[in-house]
Amino acid sequence: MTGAPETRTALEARALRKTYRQGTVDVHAVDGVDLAIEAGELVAIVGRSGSGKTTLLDLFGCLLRPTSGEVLVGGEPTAGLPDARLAAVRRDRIGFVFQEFNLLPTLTALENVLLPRRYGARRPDDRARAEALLAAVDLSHRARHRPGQLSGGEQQRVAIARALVNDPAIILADEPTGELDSETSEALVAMLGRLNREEGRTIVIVTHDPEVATAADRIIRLHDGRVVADERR
Amino acid sequence: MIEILRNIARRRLRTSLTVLGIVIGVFALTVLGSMAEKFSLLADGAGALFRGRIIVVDKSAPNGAFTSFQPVNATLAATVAAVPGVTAAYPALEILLDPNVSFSLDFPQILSGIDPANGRWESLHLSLAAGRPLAPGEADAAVIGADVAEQKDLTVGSTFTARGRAFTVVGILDRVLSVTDKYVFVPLGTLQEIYLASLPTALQAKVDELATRIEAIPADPRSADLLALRISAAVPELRAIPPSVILGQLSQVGALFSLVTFGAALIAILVGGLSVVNTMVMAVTERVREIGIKKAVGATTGAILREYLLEAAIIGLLGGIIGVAAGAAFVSAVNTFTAAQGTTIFALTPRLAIGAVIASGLLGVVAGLYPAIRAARLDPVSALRSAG
Repeated sequence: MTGAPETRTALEARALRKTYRQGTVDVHAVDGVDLAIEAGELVAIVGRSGSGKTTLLDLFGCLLRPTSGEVLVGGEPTAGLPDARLAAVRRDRIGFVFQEFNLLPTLTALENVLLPRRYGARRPDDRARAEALLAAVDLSHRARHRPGQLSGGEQQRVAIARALVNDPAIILADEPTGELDSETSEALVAMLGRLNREEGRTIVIVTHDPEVATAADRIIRLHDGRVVADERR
Repeated sequence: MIEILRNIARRRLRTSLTVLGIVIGVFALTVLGSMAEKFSLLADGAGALFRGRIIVVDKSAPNGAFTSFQPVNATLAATVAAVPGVTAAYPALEILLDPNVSFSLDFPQILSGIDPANGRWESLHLSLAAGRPLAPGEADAAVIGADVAEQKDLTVGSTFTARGRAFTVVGILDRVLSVTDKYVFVPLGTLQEIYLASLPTALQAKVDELATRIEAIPADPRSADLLALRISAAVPELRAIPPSVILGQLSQVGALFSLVTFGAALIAILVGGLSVVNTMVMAVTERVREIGIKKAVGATTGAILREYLLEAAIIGLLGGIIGVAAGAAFVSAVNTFTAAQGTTIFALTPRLAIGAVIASGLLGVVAGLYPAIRAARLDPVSALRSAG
């Protein structure tokens, strides 16, 4: 296989299981998933609601600890890491984009972009970087506005700028277009596509929007917490 | 930091009420504490008058009363001075400046006799703000305390009347916020005449009893208590009070007073602290989702803990600063009002003001501890997915 481009695994799930207890019943939200996402892939995880796709994303994002099995980020195991180390993994290697934008209402757009920097070692160019990221998502003129003064599409672009401020290799997006109209959705998906193609970031999008899924080069389908289809295109 | 201030400003009414709760508590602490501080200064100053000397009173004087107005034979001072271990003994005569005044909130004004020739004045170590001490041979001169000067509007050279006699002010004492602020020192001979005239006619024959106490200076202050016993034994007409008894009584009264006032204020502050707990618990509940966001972007448990503790501390400090300011305004207003009566009730010392502000900040931290721990321990996913 000489000459083949070297691929590195960005995210890996090994026998991953997450079980919730609801009353007396155990719910297997993620039920034995083995999966490797290579660096530079743009992956869509699809499935009906309740299929476990958001739980899987939370496990990849080190927001949740698995019941059993393990998650590797950039080839490094995360099982058994103390909370503070998991926080550092989230901060430095992963950017999150959520359906509800999840900006802090008391902070301006610029301050929201800077939020992840607050929890790491600050650098003198933080502000300039945040301003450049806002410019890249076409929001320089809205930098001093609070989320309440921004449209949904603008808020989601601020969220993307925030996800990028620590220059993570991986971006995890949970239904990022769920609250946007179709035109805005398209622009957002195009933006995620550029981040993947032009900057080589690994992007995992959880979605039930077929339009979004078609932009991905790999579609993983979940059902009842298991991978039922995994197609590369 | 900016975010914390904005968070505090988010629920203006709720935050204001919480801050008001602390303001009331700190206000109470400042006002009651100022009273306790004034009392402790009073006790300190009174102690200074008795320190380094043994107070000797008439055998018949009421027990435990170290500032007795019971007359004692002044000529016995020489007998006391002859007791081995006594370096000097002075007759001292002290009577109320105004015989119709009784103990009120504050110490009454006192006329005290000084013989400039016998060394008692020097032994009191009082410092003058203006003028000079009494000189030998003067009959109508007076050295007055700062409160007396203010109340009677006297300066060096002014004249005033006390107990029917005219005196000229020759010196004014430094203000020490204690008993000597209310003292009028006049020549002992003059005061003895006044005292004699005030006695019932039947008693005026006993002209040698012209002191209210004798002060004995011990050669070795460390064995003063022992010396007191020796004086009592050597001069049967007298009873010597050991210095430790007097200072012990003063500090006991002071400690009790401080305990009661600070205790009352602490209860007020505690109530304010509980409202901080309530406010912060509500704030955390409202901001569960925001805490989830922060954790998702990399905030550690410790970082969240610090943010919420700082917020609670700022609420506490805000209440503390306003409370101390309000207390200071109240105290100075009342002091200005009562100064006209020659009394100060409050002493807002720097240590009290600074202590109250620091205490309120700490109160905020302690009150914020439980809500902050709750916030910091939130699981990021359930926080993120929570409604609101």
